[in-house]
Amino acid sequence: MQKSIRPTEALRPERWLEHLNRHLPIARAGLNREGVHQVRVSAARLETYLRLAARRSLRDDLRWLRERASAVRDLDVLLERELPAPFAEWLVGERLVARAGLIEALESPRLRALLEGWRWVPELAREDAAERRERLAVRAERRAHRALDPKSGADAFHAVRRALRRLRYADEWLGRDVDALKALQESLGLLNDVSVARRLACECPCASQLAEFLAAADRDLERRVARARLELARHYRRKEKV
Amino acid sequence: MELYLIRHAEAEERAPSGRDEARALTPRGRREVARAARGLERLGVEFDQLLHSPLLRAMETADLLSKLVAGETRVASELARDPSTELFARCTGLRVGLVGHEPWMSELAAWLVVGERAYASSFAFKKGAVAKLEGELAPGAMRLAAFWPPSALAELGRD
Repeated sequence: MQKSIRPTEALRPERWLEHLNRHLPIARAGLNREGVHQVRVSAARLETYLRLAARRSLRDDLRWLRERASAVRDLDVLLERELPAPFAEWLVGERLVARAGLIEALESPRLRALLEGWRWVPELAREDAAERRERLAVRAERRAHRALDPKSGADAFHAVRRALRRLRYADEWLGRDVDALKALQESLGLLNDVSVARRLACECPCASQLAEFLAAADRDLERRVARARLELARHYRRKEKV
Repeated sequence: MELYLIRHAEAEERAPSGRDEARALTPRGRREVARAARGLERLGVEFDQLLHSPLLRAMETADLLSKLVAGETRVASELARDPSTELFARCTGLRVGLVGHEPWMSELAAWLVVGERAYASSFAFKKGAVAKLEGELAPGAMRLAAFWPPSALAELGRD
């Protein structure tokens, strides 16, 4: 999806709007898992566009759509793993509920109104976007410093992950290089996957049978937090040097 | 519940695309809403939910009111057509703001207060005007608690 953008060119939302529109029917049909994922990522990118435009309208609507898609996507990712049978069975049921929630959203008047509203969102002056991108960078850095405190746990890293996601998408909108942010985000994404698995295992009615799974998840989480801390520190050290 | 009916502020005569839906607020319209938002804030107004029509001028008005929103901002097509009970179903808070257009804001006010849309002309909304209704969200079941013209809100919101 990367496209070079001339430095003076205004930012226009059409590309990701078309991407969203293209994947809505795929997500609705449920023929492949990618459709849901693409709805989620395009909604997140459009949310960032609105942040760069300092627009509040449509942002909560996009978040609502993204959360409905995320509920399905998180379960899809987890179900790709080898899991204890009772947990996997329960997750399949949970996925059906999440999918029903997504379908309801995809068929809702709210989604139609959201798409209608997007038709009129104007282009965005590049300088304004670049200025607001700096605010996202400051916020991400603040959260990163908090996460680097040895006393902070997985929650602090989730906050960084969200802030870095916005920063990465902001840089994408501005046509900047995102390789470093993408790599960092992937590492934090893996940490999130373990957290999601752990949380769902705790919520599962069969949690008492999952002691071994939960212990392994705790160990994994600890490892991933340590790794994420290292990568985050490296990323910001490198930035300081630059 | 408290229901705030808000008409979008002054918008450009014609959008570059020529589409009515794409008409943006003028600089003056933006200033007026910013002042009105400060005025409403001074009156202690806060929204659990702010619904707006999908037309650009209503979205931009909602953007400028966003500091008054404690909960969710939501787009609703029902605000860009004749008022209907479907709109009521979208209102989930106890203090809800609706940003929309004429003649539908007037019709909605008349319907909710008097029970008849035919009285809409008694509730004419200037651009940027805000009406506060109280009571049960049903035709004829609400009371008009306040009706602020944009000039009054701008005065309240002056620095």
